[in-house]
Amino acid sequence: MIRFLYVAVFLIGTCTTGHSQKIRDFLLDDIAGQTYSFADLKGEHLTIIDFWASWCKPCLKAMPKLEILQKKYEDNGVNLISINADGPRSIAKVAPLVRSLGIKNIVLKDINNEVMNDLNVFQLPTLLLIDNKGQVVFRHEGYTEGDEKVIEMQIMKILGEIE
Amino acid sequence: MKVLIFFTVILSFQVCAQFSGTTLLEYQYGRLPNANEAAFHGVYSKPILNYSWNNLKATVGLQIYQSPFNKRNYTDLSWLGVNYKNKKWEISLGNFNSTLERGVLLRSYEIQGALLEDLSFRGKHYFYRDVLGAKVGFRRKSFSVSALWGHVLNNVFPPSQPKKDRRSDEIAALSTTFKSFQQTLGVSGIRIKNILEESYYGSSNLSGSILPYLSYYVLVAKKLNTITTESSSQAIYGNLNFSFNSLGLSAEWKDYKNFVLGSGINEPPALVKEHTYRVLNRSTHVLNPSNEKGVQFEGYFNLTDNTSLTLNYTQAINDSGKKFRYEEWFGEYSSIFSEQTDYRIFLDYATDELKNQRNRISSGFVANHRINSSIQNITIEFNTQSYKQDQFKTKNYVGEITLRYKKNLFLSFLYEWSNDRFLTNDTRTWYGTTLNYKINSTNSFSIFGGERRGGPACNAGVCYEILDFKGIEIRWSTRF
Repeated sequence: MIRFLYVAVFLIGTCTTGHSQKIRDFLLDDIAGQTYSFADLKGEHLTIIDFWASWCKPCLKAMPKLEILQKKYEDNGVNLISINADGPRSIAKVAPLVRSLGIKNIVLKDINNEVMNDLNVFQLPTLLLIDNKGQVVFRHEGYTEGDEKVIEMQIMKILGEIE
Repeated sequence: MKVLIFFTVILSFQVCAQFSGTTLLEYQYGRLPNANEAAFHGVYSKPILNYSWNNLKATVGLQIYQSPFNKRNYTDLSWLGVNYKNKKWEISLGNFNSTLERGVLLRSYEIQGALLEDLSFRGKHYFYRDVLGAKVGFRRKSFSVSALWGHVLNNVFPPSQPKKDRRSDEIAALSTTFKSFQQTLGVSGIRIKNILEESYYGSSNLSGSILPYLSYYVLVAKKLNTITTESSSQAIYGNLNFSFNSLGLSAEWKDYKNFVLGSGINEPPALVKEHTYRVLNRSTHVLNPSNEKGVQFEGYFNLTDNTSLTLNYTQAINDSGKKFRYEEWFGEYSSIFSEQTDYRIFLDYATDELKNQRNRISSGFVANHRINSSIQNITIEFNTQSYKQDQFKTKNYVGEITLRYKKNLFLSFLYEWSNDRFLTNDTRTWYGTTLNYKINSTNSFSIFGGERRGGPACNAGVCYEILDFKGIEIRWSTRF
């Protein structure tokens, strides 16, 4: 019985330290008014989801770097989904800001933070790597110069595991 | 026994894979510096557990607050619900979030990590507004329809107060959108019922792109069961966006009249820039949807990959028999000194007739320097503000230094100085130190010690009051 309890405690511990979240499909509008689902935009092997807001300076620094990363790995089945988390107060500023930054990727608007809350995103920017089974396999919060290297290493590691 | 352990392992991994959740635990020992009270211990906890099975997600969450004062203490089942979601359908039962017409008719929100403490109740609770009821939505790429019913949370009241006070507004709403040729038409209606009134509001909006670089959004909302013109309520909001190469412009306007719905379940767009700089965030204009008109213009210009300029103009006029004007000009320039050092500087000029603040000038900078290839980092922020109020010149200064080691350890020192006569007869200083440690990607820990200056704060478009605090505060948050 003691061994049984030991195993149960061990597994509860595993539960609380695991990364087991799975993404549920969603429909969101992009800044041009087109509607996309996660299934429409996900990468064949790996999907990068970047949550950001117009008032978040580190987010704006990270966005062009992530776009470069996505272009580098798009032939390996990697796609980037940029999800904006601005609420009603600042949503009007998102489209001109994105265009002025020269961002070419599709930018979805999660004005009610539905997807953000569904994935337990606490702070911005938050970057998630989603595998081809829809499982969140990596989570990165915040951005400082050089973080894109950490993210790239994770992408390479996951792609390496797939191959 | 071996068979039992084997099945436990298999089943537990199966179960583990479907559980997710968050917890927030905060311990405080301290007091309000200006109140006649002794320091006391307080513990707030918010565990939320989700169970997912395919497209179904069940949520249960508690809020617990314990202090030496029985009247303030509570254990509350704050979240209980089931949500089914696929590409077409979304069905929610129990607690859910919903926002209608950009917040003009209804605004739910959750300010991550923010706790509210009201001066009258003094019990801490999470800062969110949700609906307790049911919602059904159907969505295709060209149209959507959703219907909801429930009771909206009035977060002024902490969970220690009766449920009927916390959810006094019963709502029923229907909302649809139709899309065609890059234009979207939306129509919504809401019924609000409480002990004082039964009101019906309707709204319609049109949005889309005129040209690839020019888009718009207009919304008109009205109270439908108005008897006299004096009690008529309406909200008009619109924006126009333009972009060309590295230039982006947005223009917004608003006209709100008697548009506080129920106990305040809506949050129309404020059209006031939400600043991250402390002196500006604290002295922001708070929207009054009872009688407010105004405009906001904002421009972005990305001069190079690392250099950008942001300019903003805000005007808000409140007319409650007497007119009060709020006007603000803001400019921010961000660039780099070198590959290791970047900075932002800002300058802001404002006049706030409601607060009787004239010639309010604020300025400051944030500089960030990376040492040892991003292993260590130092950030220095300094803000200054001065304005005239009844012939008295108020000054505020804020200074903060943050040291970062690797990606997970942050240590910051905050200093504030003020001669604001609403706070002190002479001058006053605040000192605080915060240590943040991200243990791993699922656990983070922070400890604050010192004195924190309160006042208005705005986060994610929602403004609220933060109380002063002197003492220590320890926070642990987890996600799994």
